[in-house]
Amino acid sequence: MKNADVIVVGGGVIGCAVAYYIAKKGIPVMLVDEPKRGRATSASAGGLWPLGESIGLGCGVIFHKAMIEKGLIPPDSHVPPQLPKTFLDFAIQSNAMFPSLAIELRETSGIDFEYEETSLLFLMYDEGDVAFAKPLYANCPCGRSRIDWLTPNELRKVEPAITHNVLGALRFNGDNQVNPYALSDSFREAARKLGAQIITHTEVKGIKVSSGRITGVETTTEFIGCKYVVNAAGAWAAQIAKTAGIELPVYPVRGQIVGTEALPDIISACISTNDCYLAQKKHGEIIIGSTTEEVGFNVGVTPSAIKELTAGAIRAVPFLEWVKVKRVWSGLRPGTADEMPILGSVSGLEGYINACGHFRTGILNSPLTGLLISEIINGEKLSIPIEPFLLSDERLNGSITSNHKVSVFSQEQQTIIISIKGMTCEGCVTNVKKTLNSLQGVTKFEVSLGDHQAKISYNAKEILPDTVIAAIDELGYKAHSPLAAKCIGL
Amino acid sequence: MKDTNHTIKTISSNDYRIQEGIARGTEIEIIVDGKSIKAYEGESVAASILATGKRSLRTTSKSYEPRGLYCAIGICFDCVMTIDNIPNIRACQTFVRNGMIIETQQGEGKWRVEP
Amino acid sequence: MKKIKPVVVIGAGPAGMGAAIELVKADVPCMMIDEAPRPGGQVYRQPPTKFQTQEKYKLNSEQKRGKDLYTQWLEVKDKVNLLSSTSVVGIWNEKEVIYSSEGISGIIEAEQIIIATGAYERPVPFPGWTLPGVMTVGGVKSFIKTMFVKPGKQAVIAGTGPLLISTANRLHEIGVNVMAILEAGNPPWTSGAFSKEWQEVDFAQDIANDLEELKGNNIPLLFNHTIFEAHGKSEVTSVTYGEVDAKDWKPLNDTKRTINADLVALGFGFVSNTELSMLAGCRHDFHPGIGWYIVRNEMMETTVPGIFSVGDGALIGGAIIAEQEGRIAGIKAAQNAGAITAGDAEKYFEKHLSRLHSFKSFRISINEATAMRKGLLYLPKVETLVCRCEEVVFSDVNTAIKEGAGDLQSVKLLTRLGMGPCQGRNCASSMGMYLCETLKKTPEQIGRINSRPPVKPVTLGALAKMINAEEELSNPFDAITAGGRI
Repeated sequence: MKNADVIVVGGGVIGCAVAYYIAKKGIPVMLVDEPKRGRATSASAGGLWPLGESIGLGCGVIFHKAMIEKGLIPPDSHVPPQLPKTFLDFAIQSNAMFPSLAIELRETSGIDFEYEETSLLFLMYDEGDVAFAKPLYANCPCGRSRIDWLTPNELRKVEPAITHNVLGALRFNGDNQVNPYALSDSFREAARKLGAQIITHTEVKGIKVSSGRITGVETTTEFIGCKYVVNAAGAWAAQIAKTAGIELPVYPVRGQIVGTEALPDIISACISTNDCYLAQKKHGEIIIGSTTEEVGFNVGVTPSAIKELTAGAIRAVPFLEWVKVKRVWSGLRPGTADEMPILGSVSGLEGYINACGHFRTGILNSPLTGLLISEIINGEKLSIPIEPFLLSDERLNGSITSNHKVSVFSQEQQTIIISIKGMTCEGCVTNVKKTLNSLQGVTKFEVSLGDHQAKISYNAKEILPDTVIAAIDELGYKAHSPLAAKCIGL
Repeated sequence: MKDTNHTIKTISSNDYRIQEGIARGTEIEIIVDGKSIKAYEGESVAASILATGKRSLRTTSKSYEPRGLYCAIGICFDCVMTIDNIPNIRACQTFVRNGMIIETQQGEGKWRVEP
Repeated sequence: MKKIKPVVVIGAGPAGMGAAIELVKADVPCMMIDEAPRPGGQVYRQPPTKFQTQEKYKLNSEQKRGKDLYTQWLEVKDKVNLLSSTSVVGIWNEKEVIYSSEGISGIIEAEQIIIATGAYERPVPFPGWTLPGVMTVGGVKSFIKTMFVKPGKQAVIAGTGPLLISTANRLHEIGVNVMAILEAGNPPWTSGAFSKEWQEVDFAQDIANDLEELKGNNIPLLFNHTIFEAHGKSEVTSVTYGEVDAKDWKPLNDTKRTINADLVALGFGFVSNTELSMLAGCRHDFHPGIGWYIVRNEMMETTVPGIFSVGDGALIGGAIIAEQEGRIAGIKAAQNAGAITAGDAEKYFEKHLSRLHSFKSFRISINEATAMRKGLLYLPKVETLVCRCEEVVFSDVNTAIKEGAGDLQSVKLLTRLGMGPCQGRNCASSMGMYLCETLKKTPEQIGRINSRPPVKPVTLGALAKMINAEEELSNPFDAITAGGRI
C-alpha cells in the first residue's frame, strides 16, 4: 500500500508550494492532482500586488464599479472594500520572499518563473478615482518610498502607450509580477527533485478519517495512507473538506481573462483601472482581467464580459484597439466571504490542514502559505501568526464579509510633522501659519520656531501632505517630512 | 525524376503573373519596404508581392529565420507582414488597396503605441 | 405561426452551400458566414470579382461539378443572408456564434448551427519546411486559381494522394517546371484498378484523366519516395529526396539525392478544422484509420443537439461527399425548425443518403491511403522546427518528454508548442503521433491541444464594439456595414 507522511490535495500553485516547502524539510510528501479545467492558477495574470490587492485594486476596483452600475452600492462610494491589516502583513511578507525564491527555484528546478519588478500603476480617470487615491497616497501603510503620485506628464514619460486622458496615476513600487504557470511548475519540479512524489491525473475521491484523525485519502485508483492531509484544492476545496465532514466556506468565483498576441516590450508596469487590469508578460502577451462572478463551476466566457474587458483595455492603452486577441478564457478563484485565505488545522480532526480560500491572491501568497504549512507540520515556530486565517466559527457562518472589514486606511484624520528649514523669526512663523490656514483640509496646526517644525492635522480625503509641503516651500522655506515617508496613523 | 542538375530558369520579365486568359482589375500602386510596386485590385498582398519574385515576407522573432506564403488559406499565420503600421496581418487574406504601406516584418514588428 | 430563427451555416464551401440550398428550399431563414470574399470554399474557389477570366481551359470534371452546385446556389443566393469576408471567432455558451469582420464583431444567438469549416493540409515537419517557397499543395492550387500568379519556377511536389497529381498538372499548365511528384505511398488508384463502387464518385475518371495528362506533361511520378530536406538561405533553392520504406514510410537515407527547386508543394492528406465543434462541446473520438473525428448521427447532428458538422470539417471525403452531407444537415435543420414534415424530410434525405452510402468504401480507403505513417516521424532532426509559430524545435519536445511530460497539454506548457496564433494546427497532429509512439500511449491519453476562442484573429477593437445582430439591427449584414462607420 502506498503511503506518505503528508498528502497534498491539489496541484495548483498553492499545492505545489506546500509540497515544495514540506519536501525541503525532508518530510515525505505526496502531491495528488487532477488537473481540472478552470483552476485559478492557469487563469491568473500573475500579479504580485500586496498593496494593490489590500486596498482593493486589481479585480476589487472593477467589481466595485460593476456593483455601483448595478445599483447594489451607492454611486458615491468611491472606495472599494479594503482588506484588514493582518492580510496586508501576510501579503507583504509573502511578497518579500519572491526575489530569493526566484534564485532558489531556478537552481533546484531549472525553471525560471519570470519574476519581474514592474510596479503597479493605478490610473485615475476621473475625480472619483482621485478621491479614492488621495487617502491611499497620504497614508500608505508601507512607507512613502513604496508609493508615488504621477502627474499625467510623468506618467507619459514612464508609460508612453497609456492614454493621455488621465488625471494622474498612483504607482505602487514593490508590487510586481511573475509567470503564474512557471511559478507553479517550478514549485512542483523543485518539490519532485527534493523527493516529493507527484501523482497527476488522479482525483482524490475522499479523505479517510478514523476516531478523529486522518488515516489517508481514497483516489480514483487506490487508497493512500498518511498522517496529514493538506487541502489545497482551490475552488474545489469545500468538496474535498466535506468528505472529512468539514464545512468550508470556499466557493468558485469566476474570472474571465483576455490575452493578446505577443507584442514587443510596450508596457513596463502592471496597470489597474476601474474597468480592467493589464500586465505584459515576458513572452510579450498582455493579459487583461477580470470579472468577479459567482456562477458555480461554469468555466465559459461571456461576450458581454469580453466586450467590457477589451473596451477597458483600449481606454487605458489606446493602441490595443488594433492588437489581436489571442485567447479568452476563465478561471475559478477559490472565493471566501471575507476574501482571506483559510489556513491551518481545524479543531476536532487531527491531521487535517487547510491551505485554501486564497481568492485573488494565491500566486502572491503561495510562498508564505507553503512555508507556514510546512512549519505547522514540522512543529516549528511559525513565521507569521496564523490566528486570523484559521477556520473560525465567524468565518464559517459568514458573519464576516468584505463589507464589514476593517480598512487599512480607515482613518481620514491624519497628523503629520513637517520640518521647516529657513524660519528665522516669528514673522516667518506667521507666514507659515497664514498659508496653512488657507489650505482646505488642514484642520489644526502648531508651528514651532525653536523645533523648526510644524505639526499638522488634516483630512486625508481633502489634502495630501505633499500639497502642504509644496505650499510651505513656495514661501521660500525648505519643508520636509521624514514621517510622511513612514506609516502614519497605523 | 527529371535531370537532377537542371538549374532553375530565370524569368526575364521579373513578373510572375500569368498573362493568358485573364483580365485583371484596375492597376494600383502599393509600397513595399519603401518601394512602389504595381498591383491590381482584387489581388491579395501575398499575390502582389510574389508577382515581383519576392517570397520572404517576414523574419521570425526568436531565430530571425525567413518565412513566406505557406498554407495560403489563412490558417498558418506564417505570411504575416506589417500592413499600414499594424504588425501580424496575414498577407494571404488581405487585399491590396492603392497606397497601402507594407513592410517585411522583423520579429514581432514595430507598433505605433503613442495615443 | 412561430417565427423561425435563422440557421447559422459556417463556411461557404460545397458543404455549406449544400446546406444553404436545402434551407432556402424549405423557406428556413439561413445566415451564412464565410471568410472568403466569395463563396466556393477552397475547392470551388473563385477569382476576385475584379478579375475577368476566359474559359481558356477545358473544365475538368471537378470544375464541372462545382459549376452545377454554383448554378443552384445562384438560384437561392438572394435569400441567403451571406456575411462574406467574415470569420467566426468562437461558439460560446452553447450556441452563441461570435463573428468578426472589418474591425467590428457581432453575436448571433442561434438555435441551430451547421459547421462546415473544411480542412487543411496535414503538416509533416522536416528540415527546411519553414523556408519561403515551401507551400502546401492546397495553398498552391488555390493561389494559382484565384490570383493567377506563379508561386515559383521549378517545383517538386511531395506527399501522398491524388491532389499531388492535379496540382502538378496545374503548375505545368501555367509554365512552372515540375521536376517530379514524390508519392510516399503506392496507392491503388494509380494502377488503374478501381473499385466498382468508386465509379459513382467520378473519382476513377478524374484520376485516369489526371494521370494521362501527367504523362503528356512528362512529369515523373515516383512511388515510395518523399522529401527529406529543403535547402536554402532566404528561400528554398534545392531539395533532398529519396526512397521510403513501403510499409511505414521511414526514409531510407542511403537513397538520398539533391535537386534544384524553388518551389516545394506538400500534401500529406488533410486534417479537419474542428476548433469550432470543440469549442461548442461536441464529442470527438479517435479512430486508428482516420484520426480524430466528430461523433455524428446519420443526419449529421453532433452530440450537441442543434449543432451539425458536415463535409471535410467533420471527416475528410472531398467535395461531392461534403455537398451531400451539407444537404442532409440542411434538410434535418429545416425539419427541426418545423418548416417541413418528417415525412417530407425522409423523402428529401433519400437521394443524398444513398449517394453517401455509395461513397462509403471510397471514403474509408482514401482516409486510410493518405493516413500519416509513423516512419515520417524520422524526418525531423533535433534542430528542426516542429511548431512553426513558437519556433519550438524537435529536441525541445524530447526534453519535455524526459522531464516527465506525458501528454500534448504538458508538452505545450513546457515548450509553448501550439501556443502560437495557429493554435496547434501545424504541430498537434504530428507531435501527437510522435508522443503516442515514444510514450507507447493511446491518442486519447496523449490528448489534443484544446481549442480556445478566438479561433480566428480578431482585434480588441472589434470585440470592444461587439453588437448583438438580432437586437441592435434587424439585419446582421447591415451590422457589418454599419460597423465600418463606427
